[in-house]
Amino acid sequence: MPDPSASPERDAASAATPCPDSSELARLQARFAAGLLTAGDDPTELFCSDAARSARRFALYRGNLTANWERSLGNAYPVLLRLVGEEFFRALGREFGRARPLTVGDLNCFGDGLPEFLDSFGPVADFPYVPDMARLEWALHRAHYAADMPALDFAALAAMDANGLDTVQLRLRAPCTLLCSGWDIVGIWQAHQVQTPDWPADVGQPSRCLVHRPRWRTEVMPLTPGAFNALLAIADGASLGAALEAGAQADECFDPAAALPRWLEAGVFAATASPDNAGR
Amino acid sequence: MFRETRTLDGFGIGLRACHYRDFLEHRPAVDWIEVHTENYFGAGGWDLHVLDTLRADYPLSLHGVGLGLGSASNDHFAAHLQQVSRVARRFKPALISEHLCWAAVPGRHLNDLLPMPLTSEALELVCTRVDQVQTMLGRILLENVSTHLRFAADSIGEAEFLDAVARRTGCGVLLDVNNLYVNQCNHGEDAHAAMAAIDGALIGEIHLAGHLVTDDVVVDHHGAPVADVVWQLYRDCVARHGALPTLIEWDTDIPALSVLVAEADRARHIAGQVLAREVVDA
Repeated sequence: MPDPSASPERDAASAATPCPDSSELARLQARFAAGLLTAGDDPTELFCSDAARSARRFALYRGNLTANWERSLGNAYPVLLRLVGEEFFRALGREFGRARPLTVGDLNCFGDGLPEFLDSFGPVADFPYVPDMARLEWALHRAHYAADMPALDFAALAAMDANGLDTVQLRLRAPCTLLCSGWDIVGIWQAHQVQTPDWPADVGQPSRCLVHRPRWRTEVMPLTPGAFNALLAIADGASLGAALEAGAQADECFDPAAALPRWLEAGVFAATASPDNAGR
Repeated sequence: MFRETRTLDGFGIGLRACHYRDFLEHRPAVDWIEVHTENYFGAGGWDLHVLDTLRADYPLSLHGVGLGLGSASNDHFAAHLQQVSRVARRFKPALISEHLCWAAVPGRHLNDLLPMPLTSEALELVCTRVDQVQTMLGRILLENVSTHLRFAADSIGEAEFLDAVARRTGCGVLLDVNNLYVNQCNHGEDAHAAMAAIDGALIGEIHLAGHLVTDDVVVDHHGAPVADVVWQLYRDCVARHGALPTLIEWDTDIPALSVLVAEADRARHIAGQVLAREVVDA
């Protein structure tokens, strides 16, 4: 893929002749958009039909906007939807959509920033695990669309052994996100993968996980404190030896000899370009 | 560079995620497939993988729903076009189409095919934008949309507007026959007159879909079989403009894949009947 910023075609698009904000067209579209965002503010003066009919029909566009928000948010946050219920979720979608305008024409991006929005969203204050659950689900949503990236396998890791594995620096693959929460969001999420959730006994237990995508399906891998700290250290650029040491320090039950093969099998690390294919 | 040499021919259906498995396992007998370009904006993952796979067996049409060529705001246009271009480079479609609509204001994308004010000022803007798109992607088709409302400021009919854009920019027209019918119901605009107002040589594709009749308005919801009255309009369209690549769209309450394939076969049958009759008449 050529670098788009180096493409001469970029200039053609960025050299657009704008339609000035003062133009009749810009004014008309601004009025239309303002009406979409405020119930009852029908810009009936813009249309051919009589005011009553214009208002009825304009409401359909307003409904499309919120229905799109609701559907996109439901795709990205299915467990959150079940936790708070449809009615609450619909209201949340409207509040969020108005407060945080989507600035791109790709509805799959709608929902970015919802966890932070929920951090200070009064109506969910009684459900303190909800913002972290949203973080987990957004990580899964992003992983679904993340770049395909070959995974490091056993053989490739063994081949990096020249100076001892301890000094090797690994990278997490693009779809990977590490999450930790003061709540058992991993347990709650797992419970909601079936029709009738069997809630964790104590949602106040901290939980940690890796969201990743071995191939096409996204997954949640629960992590012990040791495994979490080790992977976090790798993500932060520590050598494998130092990362495994960090894991052992955090958690005396952490067993590097068991963890590393499990991570490799799950395709957690990015393959490092060998001299053979480095140019591809 | 962005296009394959195959051109679309025959009868296609819109590929939707709920039919991926069926498509991968059975390769249904349709002549080509069309996807919403924005669904392939991701950097990687399952959607791109499926399209890579099916792409080998079906000519592809990329149908954009988010560019908003008629948005007065310039905020989103260049970035969105870059994304469309990226998808086009990867999948090398036989055809690329966009809608005659607007979609964004400064600072906010509204993610809908909003009704275009049909003014001379809007015509200038749309022509400029189509020129920019075509500089980057090659020739595109521009589709007529259905609307619930018309603007008091309108000075040009939609079909004349499309015809003018096509003549000035060299783009083609994607004629949505269902939308013509919906606009006939909603605004009293004669669908046959609209069809006649567009030079047939400019039309590169036909869309057919279901609509919903309500007390106040007909909604182009893409959630039902093509209505009989729209099939009749399609007959008239084939009789007037000849055989054109025809697509069945279905976006809400999507039924089994076999239902979509049967609709495409029905279009094939109807077009065949109309064209055979013309041969006899000649």
